[in-house]
Amino acid sequence: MVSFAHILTGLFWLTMVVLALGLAKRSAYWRQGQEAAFSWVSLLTVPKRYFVDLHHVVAREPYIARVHVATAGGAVAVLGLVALNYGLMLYQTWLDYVILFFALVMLAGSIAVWQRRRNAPSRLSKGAWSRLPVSLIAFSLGTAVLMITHATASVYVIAALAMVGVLLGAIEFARGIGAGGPMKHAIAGLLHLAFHPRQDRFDGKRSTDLKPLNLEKGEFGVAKPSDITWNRLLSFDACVQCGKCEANCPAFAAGQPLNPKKLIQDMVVGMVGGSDASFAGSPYPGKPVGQHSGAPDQPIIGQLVDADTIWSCTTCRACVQECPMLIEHVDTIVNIRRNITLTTGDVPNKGAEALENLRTTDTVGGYPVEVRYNWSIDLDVPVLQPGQQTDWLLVAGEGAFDMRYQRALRALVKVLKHAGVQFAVLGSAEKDCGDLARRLGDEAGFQRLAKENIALLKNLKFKRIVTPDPHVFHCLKNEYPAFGGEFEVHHHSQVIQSLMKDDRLRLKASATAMPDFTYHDPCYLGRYNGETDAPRNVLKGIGIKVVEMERSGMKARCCGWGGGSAFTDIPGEARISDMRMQDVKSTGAAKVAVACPNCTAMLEGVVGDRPDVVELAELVAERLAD
Amino acid sequence: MSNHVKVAVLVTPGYHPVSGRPRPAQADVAALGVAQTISTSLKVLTAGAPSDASLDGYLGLGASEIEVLGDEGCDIVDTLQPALSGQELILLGGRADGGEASGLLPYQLSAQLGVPLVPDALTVKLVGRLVRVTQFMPKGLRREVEVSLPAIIAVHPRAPINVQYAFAKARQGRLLRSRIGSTGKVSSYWQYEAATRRPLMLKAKLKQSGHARMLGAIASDDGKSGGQVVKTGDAVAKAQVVLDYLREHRLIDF
Ligand code: SF4
Ligand code: SF4
Repeated sequence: MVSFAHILTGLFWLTMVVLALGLAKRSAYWRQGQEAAFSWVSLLTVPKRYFVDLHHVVAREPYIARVHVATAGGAVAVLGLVALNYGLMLYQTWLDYVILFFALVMLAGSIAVWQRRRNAPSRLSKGAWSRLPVSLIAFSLGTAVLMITHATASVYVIAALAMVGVLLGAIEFARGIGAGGPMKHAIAGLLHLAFHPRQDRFDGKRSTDLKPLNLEKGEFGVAKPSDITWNRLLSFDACVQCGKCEANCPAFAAGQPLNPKKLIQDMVVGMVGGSDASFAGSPYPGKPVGQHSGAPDQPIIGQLVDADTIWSCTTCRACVQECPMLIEHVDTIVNIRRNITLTTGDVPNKGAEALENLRTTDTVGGYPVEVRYNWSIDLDVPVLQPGQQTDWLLVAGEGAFDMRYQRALRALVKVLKHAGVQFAVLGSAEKDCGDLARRLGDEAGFQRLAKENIALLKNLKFKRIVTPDPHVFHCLKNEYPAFGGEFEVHHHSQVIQSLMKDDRLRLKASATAMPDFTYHDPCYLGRYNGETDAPRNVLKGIGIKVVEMERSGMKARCCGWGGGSAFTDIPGEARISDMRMQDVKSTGAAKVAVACPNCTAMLEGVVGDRPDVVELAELVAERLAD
Repeated sequence: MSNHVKVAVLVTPGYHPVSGRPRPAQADVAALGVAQTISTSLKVLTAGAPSDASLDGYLGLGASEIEVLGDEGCDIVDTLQPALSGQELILLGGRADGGEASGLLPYQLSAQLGVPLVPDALTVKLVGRLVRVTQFMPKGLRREVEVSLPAIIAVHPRAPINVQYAFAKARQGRLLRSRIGSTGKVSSYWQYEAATRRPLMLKAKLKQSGHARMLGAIASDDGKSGGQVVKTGDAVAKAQVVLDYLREHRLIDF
């Protein structure tokens, strides 16, 4: 007579077959994408990446992390042991007790998941995700009951009921991957860790994976889902719809038509084909769900996603920072922008004008390059000529045309001179670094500027570059190497920090107590380059106490400028810069220190009564003796 | 239907007023943009020896082929005339960034081809064999005129157009060169002089921070500063307040 134990054996192997078929189906979707570097050996990296890199992100919410460890850990242990005891038909009673233990651990985790779901924050998706805890509970409870009865129950009703529970869970798990249910994240997530598009992420490298396009070959970015590389398609399948990206997205908070979670789900829809009607989370603000659809070979823009969604992103990478599945949203957004900009030029509002200016004047604002260093005429700042040599090359960037920021630049020059730093500027030879062009998808414009700048810089003799603009900093430091431009680049906060450390700044004895300051972290210095300490150390060094905002450091909210948002200017209900100023105000600090020309401009542009916006270098310059 | 009409667009090399770099001339860009609303197959022409860099912009704006006629120093009207004889609708910028294409060219072409000219066009619509043109007039006035084909239309630089530069289009576009000899009589009349400009000193009237001035200028509910926040009344009453303000500050002239 066939016992429950044999049924379990059968069920286990059936599950494995369904799982394998599902995986084959899903991977066929991924293979629609473009090629990317691939090696089976990457699979060996999964345990370390899972337990270290991913854990670092998940552990930011300790309770959820523990719940997940209990549920997923329990489930993996149960499956492994069932494979051993029932899959291989050992039928050892003592193993049943071990399985029972892990089933109970999983049950505890599942109940906690269910509890959390009952009061779910709005960022969590509903729909199939609400069903998941029930399946998990059914599976763990059923397994536990079967193990108590050693799957040979005399009370057949109970055992049969337990079997139904196990079956429910097995279906959820096994069909998850093939049918695109919530449990697909388990398999896709692990594979995503192995084949992550940005492998150096696991070596602690931040930044992006904006690969240079081969324009000669007619590479113009992503127009349809099948233009995306296969490992990015895989990464979209890893999304657990936790909405952490949504909760941290400044554009979403401002009511602009962007929700990074929905965007990732839309990419899944595009990859599989169909409509977004079954999406069960917060929509793009102002855009009802169910009116867009896509297919792998259909254009993304207009059908699947509206262009204003793609233009709303500030490229602040808050979503990337928060995503527990290590998905990189920004690269995909920029890749889609590249296609729009390069093939139609349809960049909204002042974006197109800024790109036109870059093409015709090498400056974003359409200024004559000859006047870039006019603010330094009376400061005797040498212009570096070929043949001459200097320690530091100061690159001012577009901020040099802004009257507000010129004060900060003058202050920086004062500080450098005070410390006896040997430095020079590029003068009228300086062109825009191309950051804005690249973020707005004008890869052709970016590559031209990058190549011309690299040629210029390689012709000059200097040891290091210093700039007060985090966008210039990031661009020169992280994006020029792909074009053969390897330079040692420092942000001015880092330089001032080291000048302080070497005791090269003599400060006035402070006469009056400084008011409380808060510090706004620029995305391109913090999240893109991990530098959150240097500016704080500088402020501390001149006796300023920093009252931290709730969202600061690596979690800082964007000022709203990045990614060309100040130019494309997609309307929302609020302005991101106003929201950031509200963050500033709620600390009660009297002033806010900034370290980026664009943050300065954005926060200065907030009207009404508000704390003063002061640049780091200005604060230091004010405190210098003599 | 409109595609049956043969539409030609004349373009010229321009330069950026700040950087002096070659680029399309803005009025010709407007002409190209307007032409694209009329027909999808345009014959785009230029004469003389423009640099590729200045024509690249037109390609990027959607001109798939540009025929480059004539040579350095050729007479533009003489060179263009044979190429234009079969065209029914000819669009061009009313004024280019410099050289022979500035100002007189539309009139000369009109005289030589014996075709009527409509200057300062903002929008152009084909209605059968008629062309309906909205013309730009000073002080925001507009005028509608109609002319029958064939016609030359000189487009105003402020014409509302919806074309953007796209790198891929610029790469796909082609320049076709054919050399036609001509006399070059007009260009010899030109004389070039350097422009002189005296610098203007700027002096701030008030020594106030930007933020302080902003606070002074913007309206607030307490009525202490700046303007006035109107929250009551219907749209007409609110608009009246704005209108009064503009009149009071002589920002509108009627
Ligand atoms: S980068 Fe910033 S603005 Fe863009 S989707 Fe992510 S969180 Fe939102
Ligand atoms: S993209 Fe990442 S952060 Fe956003 S919902 Fe998916 S898993 Fe969560």
